[in-house]
Amino acid sequence: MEIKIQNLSKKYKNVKALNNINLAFNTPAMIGLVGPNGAGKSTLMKILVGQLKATEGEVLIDGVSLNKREKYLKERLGYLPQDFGLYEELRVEEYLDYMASLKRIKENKKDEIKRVLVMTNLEEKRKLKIKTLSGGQKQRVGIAQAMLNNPELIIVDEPTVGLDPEERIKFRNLFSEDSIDKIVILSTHIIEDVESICNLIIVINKGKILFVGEPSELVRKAIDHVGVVEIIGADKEKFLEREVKGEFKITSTVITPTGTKYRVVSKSLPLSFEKVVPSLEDAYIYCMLEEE
Amino acid sequence: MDLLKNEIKLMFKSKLIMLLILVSCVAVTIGINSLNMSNDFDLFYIRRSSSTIAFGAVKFGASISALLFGLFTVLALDKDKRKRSKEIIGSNIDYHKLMIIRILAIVFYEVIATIIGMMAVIAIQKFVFSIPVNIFYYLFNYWIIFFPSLLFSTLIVSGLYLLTDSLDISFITLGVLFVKSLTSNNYLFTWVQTNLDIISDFAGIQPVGKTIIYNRLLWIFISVLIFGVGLLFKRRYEFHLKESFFINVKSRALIILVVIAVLGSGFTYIKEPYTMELIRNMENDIDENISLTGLRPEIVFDNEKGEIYGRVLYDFINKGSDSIKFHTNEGLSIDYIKVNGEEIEYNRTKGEVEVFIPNMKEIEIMISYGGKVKTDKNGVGRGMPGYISKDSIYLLENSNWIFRPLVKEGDSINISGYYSAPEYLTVVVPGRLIGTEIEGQLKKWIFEYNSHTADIGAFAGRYEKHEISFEDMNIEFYYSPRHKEYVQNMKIEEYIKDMMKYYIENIGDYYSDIYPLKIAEVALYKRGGHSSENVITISENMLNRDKNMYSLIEDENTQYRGMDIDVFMSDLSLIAHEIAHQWWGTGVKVVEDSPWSSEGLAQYFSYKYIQSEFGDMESSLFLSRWESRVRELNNYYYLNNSEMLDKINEKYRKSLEMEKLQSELYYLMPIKLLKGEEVLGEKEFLKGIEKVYKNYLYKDLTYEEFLKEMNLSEEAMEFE
Repeated sequence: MEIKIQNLSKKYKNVKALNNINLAFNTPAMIGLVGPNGAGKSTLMKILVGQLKATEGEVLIDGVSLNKREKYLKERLGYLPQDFGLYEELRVEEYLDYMASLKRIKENKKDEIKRVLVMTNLEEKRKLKIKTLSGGQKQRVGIAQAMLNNPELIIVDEPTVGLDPEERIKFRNLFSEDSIDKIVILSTHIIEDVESICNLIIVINKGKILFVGEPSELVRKAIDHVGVVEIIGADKEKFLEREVKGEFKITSTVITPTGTKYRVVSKSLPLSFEKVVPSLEDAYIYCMLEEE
Repeated sequence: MDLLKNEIKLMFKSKLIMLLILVSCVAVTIGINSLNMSNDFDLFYIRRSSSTIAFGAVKFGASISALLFGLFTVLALDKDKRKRSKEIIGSNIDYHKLMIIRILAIVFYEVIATIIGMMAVIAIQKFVFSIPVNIFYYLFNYWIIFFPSLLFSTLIVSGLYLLTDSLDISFITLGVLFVKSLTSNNYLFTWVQTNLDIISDFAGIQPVGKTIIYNRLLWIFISVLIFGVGLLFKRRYEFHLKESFFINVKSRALIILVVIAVLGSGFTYIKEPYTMELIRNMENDIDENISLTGLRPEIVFDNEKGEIYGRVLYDFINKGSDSIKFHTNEGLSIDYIKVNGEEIEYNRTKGEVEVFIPNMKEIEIMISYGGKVKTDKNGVGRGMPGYISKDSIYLLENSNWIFRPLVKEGDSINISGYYSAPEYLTVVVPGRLIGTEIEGQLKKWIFEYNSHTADIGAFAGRYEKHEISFEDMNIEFYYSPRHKEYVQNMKIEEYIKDMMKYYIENIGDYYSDIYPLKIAEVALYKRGGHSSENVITISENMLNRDKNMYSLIEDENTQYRGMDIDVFMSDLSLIAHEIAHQWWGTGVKVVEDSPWSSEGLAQYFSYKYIQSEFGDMESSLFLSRWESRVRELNNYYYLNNSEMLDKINEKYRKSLEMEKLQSELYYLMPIKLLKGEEVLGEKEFLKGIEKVYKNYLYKDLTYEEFLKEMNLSEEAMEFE
């Protein structure tokens, strides 16, 4: 599958939620879409799944405008929004059976349901009513429905929210393994998730794309812009004032026996700070700083 | 199809739909007894048959089920919004397509509810009541009345939901339309359960069947229109109403659907072919310069088509007018009008035709016309003044089936002519039957009558004619053979004789030796009774009650006990009232001046008859009803403050005025007469009445003349 986003803009009254976005992905791709709240991630995803119309520009799916290919897209799409509900009166198996029918799965429907139940570790819960499941288990049901019919395009918004660390790792791997023959777009706040599995990262803020590329490339951009410094005693307040002024961004604070050790990201790292190898999270913060 | 199955399966799992089907079945089952649950003496204890059981079940069931299915529909459509599952579902399928599939799934369950409800009631009729099942009534009632009600409810509320995107607003709006349907007198608006009270056992469904079907046709268009408009404004891509409309309007199929629905509903409403606004008050338009002296109708009934055609010859004496107006029935079209043998031009407006006449003393007008008689717009099924169906004819004078000239009626009007109807029907003609002639499949009923009014009707049915001999007169009693058992068991003929005897003894001889009294059973589509000339009609409820009523006659000890005796008394009182009109109305022409009219005298005498036959306890019930009705009306704010009447809605004002008039004529006047009786003493009062009748037979009687003859004053008859 090939997705091309060309000059895409979306306006809500006078607010531009997306501003002239241009992107292109091909199978296989495991894409991490990151950005602060209100950056335009959800708007972009809603446009990609055909739930919103762009004000300008277009999305091409395999070379044809999405406006003409909604059905084509829906047949190949697995989608899990961030805020979703399920038919709680149904059992897990019944719900997946219903969703499988909506996806027009006719042959091997039972096998397909079994496959996603196994994938999402819900086999034992399949006879339970959804209303009796925990939040994490419901999240897994949501992921299971997105996985039905082995879609070519999976778009998931914060899929690991509510999952315990072990499950999170499992799902990360699941998406990663699954992306061999598909495009997976993962919107998340958890940079760690992106770092572990994504081969492409998109940083978006205020409706603009700030970065598109491999995570390592983003990290490379942040080299010489991340450092640590230990602040002792009364200097702490002055140091924090410098952050307020925008000189740098503190990404971690560790109390040490002698003072407080800060990890900072800065456009221009002061010489007194000890340079360190940036993490993806640092690189993301640096990307944001650059935009400011 | 797979998606539809999927939705059906999903709804089945929610169990709510099963509960809904169960409630529908319970509602139709309760509806079997709905006639006895109504606060309506006319309908209590009507003998059960397929027509009454199926209709009662459907009418009651539809009222409950239509609302519940409407609620279920809006809940089903709003489900994903409430459960926040719309985005997931919408990512798999076109969400609006899914909504339509969900609506179809609901319609599927409505079909199931209809079938199960029908089977349940059939089973009860057959196995509990042991009444033979006439499947036609079930199929008609369930598939023309019940199922469409559910379907309309679903389509309307779906359209409203798509339009408003709000569960609350759409359901409340459906509720408003629902209430309008339950309260409207206009049959076109009663989309839920029709405005009929019962399907007649006497005339069957034919006289009203076409109006039910027409109502369904109109509401198919209306509900599709509301649904189509909903589709036009359904929200797309999180846009608002306007932007969504501009996207949806690109669908050519949808536009065609909406245009067809707009045109269809508009055309169906405007071109409604069965009813008209009846002109009731003609007194103000009477031309006093012209009087009617002769009327010669030659009418042929085509019962298969429900049409009449023929011609009527009118003789007038003219004292200076240049035109004569007639009230007409809008369903009848005029072929030609001749004045003194010459075909002339005429002016026809809605409900009226004006014929220009030469300045001559004797005028003869012949009107040739034909078509389908239209009935009263607000009276379909309850107060139909006229219809022609395959098995019966019911044409009251006020349907203007014979165009009524707006002129003075001469002292004696010579009426003669014929009604020609299918041979299988017995026609009850006004006046005296001269003879009959067979002409092919038709039988011509030739009659003549000399009267002081030209108010003639035509009544026909598959009657059995019984002659009730009383002293030296014969009363012709026409009723359906199906109701013979009731008539015999309840000794109706005996009671009629008793009534005649009471009136002859207390008022005077029956007004004519030539024209026999004719009593004809008619359908409940016109409630109660009617008396014009020497013909009385009584609605079938008086001859078709439940067998349990027989115990009132068979077992003396069970008398005077409860509702059944009240119902029976009410029936007898009504028959007595109509018979009394032969003395007051036909014999003596009572000049109406509210509260004075023939109705008050007829009420008074039916009361007196019940009192003499059954005692004070039974008759006092009528009196207390009259008194409470008069008091109730006296407490109406707007009637007590007439200056405020102008400030209220004209329709409401007219209905209040009509209620007031009826109360004065039917309740206040008989109370006044009873007051007069109290003042003079019963014996003296009745003696006075006898004298009035004798002196005013074949003449007009005003209130002043009555008071004078009776030596009474208005003050003495005042009711506090």
